[in-house]
Amino acid sequence: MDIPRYERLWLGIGIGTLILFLFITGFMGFSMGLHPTDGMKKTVEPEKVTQSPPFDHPGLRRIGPDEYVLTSVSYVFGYDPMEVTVPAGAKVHFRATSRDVVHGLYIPGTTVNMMVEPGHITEQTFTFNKPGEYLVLCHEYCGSGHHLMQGRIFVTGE
Amino acid sequence: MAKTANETGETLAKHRYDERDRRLILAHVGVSVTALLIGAVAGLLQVVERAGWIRLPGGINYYQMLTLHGVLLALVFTTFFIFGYLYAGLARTLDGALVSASRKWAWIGYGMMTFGTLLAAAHILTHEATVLYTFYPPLQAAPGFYIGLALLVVGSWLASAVVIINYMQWRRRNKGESSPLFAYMGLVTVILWLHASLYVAIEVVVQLIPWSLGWVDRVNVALSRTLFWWFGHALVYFWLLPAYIYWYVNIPQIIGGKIFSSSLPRLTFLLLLLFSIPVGFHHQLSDPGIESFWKFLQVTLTMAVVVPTLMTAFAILATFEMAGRDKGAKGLFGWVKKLPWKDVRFFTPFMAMVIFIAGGAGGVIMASYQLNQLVHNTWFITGHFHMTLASTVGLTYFAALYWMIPILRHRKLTPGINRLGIIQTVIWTIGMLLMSVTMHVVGLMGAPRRSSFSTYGGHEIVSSWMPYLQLISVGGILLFVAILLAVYLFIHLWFLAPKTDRPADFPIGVVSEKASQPPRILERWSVWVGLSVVLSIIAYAVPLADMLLNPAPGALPLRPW
Amino acid sequence: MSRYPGDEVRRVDKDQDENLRGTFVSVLLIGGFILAMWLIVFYIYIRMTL
Repeated sequence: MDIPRYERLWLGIGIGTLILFLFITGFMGFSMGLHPTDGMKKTVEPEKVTQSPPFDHPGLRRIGPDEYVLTSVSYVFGYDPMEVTVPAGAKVHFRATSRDVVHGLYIPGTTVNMMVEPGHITEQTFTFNKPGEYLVLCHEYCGSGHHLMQGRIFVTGE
Repeated sequence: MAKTANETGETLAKHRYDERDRRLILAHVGVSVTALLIGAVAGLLQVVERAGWIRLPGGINYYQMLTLHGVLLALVFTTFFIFGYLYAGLARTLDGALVSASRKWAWIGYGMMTFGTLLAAAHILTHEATVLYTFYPPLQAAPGFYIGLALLVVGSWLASAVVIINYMQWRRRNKGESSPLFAYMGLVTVILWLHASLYVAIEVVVQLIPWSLGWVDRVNVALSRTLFWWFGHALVYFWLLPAYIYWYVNIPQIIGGKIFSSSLPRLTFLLLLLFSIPVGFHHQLSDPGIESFWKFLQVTLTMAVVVPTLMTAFAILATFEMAGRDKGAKGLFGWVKKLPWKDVRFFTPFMAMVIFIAGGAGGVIMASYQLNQLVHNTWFITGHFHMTLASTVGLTYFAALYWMIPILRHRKLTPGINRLGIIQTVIWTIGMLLMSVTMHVVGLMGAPRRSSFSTYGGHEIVSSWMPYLQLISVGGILLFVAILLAVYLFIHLWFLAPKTDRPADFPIGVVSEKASQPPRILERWSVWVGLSVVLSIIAYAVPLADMLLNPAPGALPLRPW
Repeated sequence: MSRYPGDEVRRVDKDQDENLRGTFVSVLLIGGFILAMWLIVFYIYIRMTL
């Protein structure tokens, strides 16, 4: 097969660039722990999930000087807890499930971008460095009230 | 019997479509254009509601329109056009007409697809299936919706069989020869489709239909999403490949150039087949229940599928340049002036290609593992697929219809229609750039997709989005105008354009004399189908096994709309 | 007649090259655009994360 020389050059550059992207993203993921949201743990049946730990007590729990675990239950059409407050610099470990359909847990302006599925526990960690009022919203269609499904994270200034 | 039109320069003395083929192809075009129009109306209703300009009149729900828009445009407009176009090209390049015995199956397939579409659409319109075109469980639509979709898919398998039958008949009669490029590429398209649609068929028939009928209580959510996207990414290539066929096979003839290699386009299509299917996880990067290793492996395979498109970019531009230089162009870019800018058959797909550059850039970004966190489920995604699907694919399909309809209806594509087609493309391009570029920007600012108008309790970040959302809707209105114009032109070409005894030729490119014969292995289908299956197994076996052996508890149905 | 087998191929390459300069520059521009967009989003991600 004849591949023109300029095409071979172009493909070399193109493939090299794609490999570079893979290297950068792979390194960030596997060496720096910067993976997209994840979560291999499962829960009980979704309709019973609020009766079994840890989702029987959703909310914020402090586990270190600047570290928290936020246990969250999504439902049509809201989050439990709906609002939490943390100080600036707080590292928050999100742990989320749904008690009905697939929801999203998304905080615009951050990389907190989670799919929340019944039966699954989705996990992500984010450090809130900037104080402010963060909007939490559902970005996966879940019914007629989907665009009203929201929460707040208040990050108090230092 | 008339000689076939093949790429060594011989042309059919006067190819005329068989009356039966004309009817078959036009039947597909008819459904395609109807779906386009209704889907576009749904889109219009969406954008005027979304900008906060109107509240949709009672009974019409934003998400219902969104479901209609997605299903009709992404699944119906496309599928019917694709098979119509493939049948037309096969008849033209293989033996002048479709294999007689295959027509029956084509009609049965068409009947199933049309009936399935009507069934699904009826359920959407009666608010029984407001689940969006991805229909993620545990949202549960009425059984008729899933049955309708299943019929659409199974009908398409019969249509795919027609393509295969015609291809195989030609090969039997021309042993040892490389198949005509159009037919080769058409075959790859249906192989891709058959492999990929198998997964959504399993999801719908094995999981969702029994569940929606109440035969089983619970559904495995992670499994259903995985099956859907195993299909869902390949779906976009099912749309893209026919557009590439237009660019590789029709355009060289339209611009008076030659196809400079008969091998590279075949290799390109094989690479697209191999790497478009085992990559669904890049739509699920934020999902729980899938190990990062497998997500990243599929990200790597996704980057691989970019390569044949890089090859296509080079090949198409090379065809332009060589055609221009053959006509005497000099200098680095002199050949640009030699291209037939005033020919809608060229201008429209060219704009499709330009928009694809932006669409492709967004695609590479979205697939880049953790970068996806910035954009998942925001308007960025929507901007991306309106550039790639609606524009790259849509505009190319429009261009094909501009010359296919008059050929099949024995009418003329007049200079007046040609000019209006160009205007349609210009309006479209302005509307699309306005809408989609803005979508990319406001997506990066955090605005969510698939959501009706909301102020989210008056949060200030929403006010920062508002001006962009207005711009999106303005773009959307321009696009609607462009579609209205396109549909008007299709109807005009169908019924009102001047009749002719000698319809134009279905433009088929001629392969350059300097091109070498394609290596035989490119046509050893067992190799490529086998590799495609192996790649799917490598990419999916372990995570799938995990979902089946360590499943999360299944979810009960909900109908929260 | 070429003296070495490689000569033929190189001559063909040179002819082809002449005819494809515009294409090569165009695809490099396209590639540059994709790279630039990627770097912009990468930068946004880094700013938000680190």
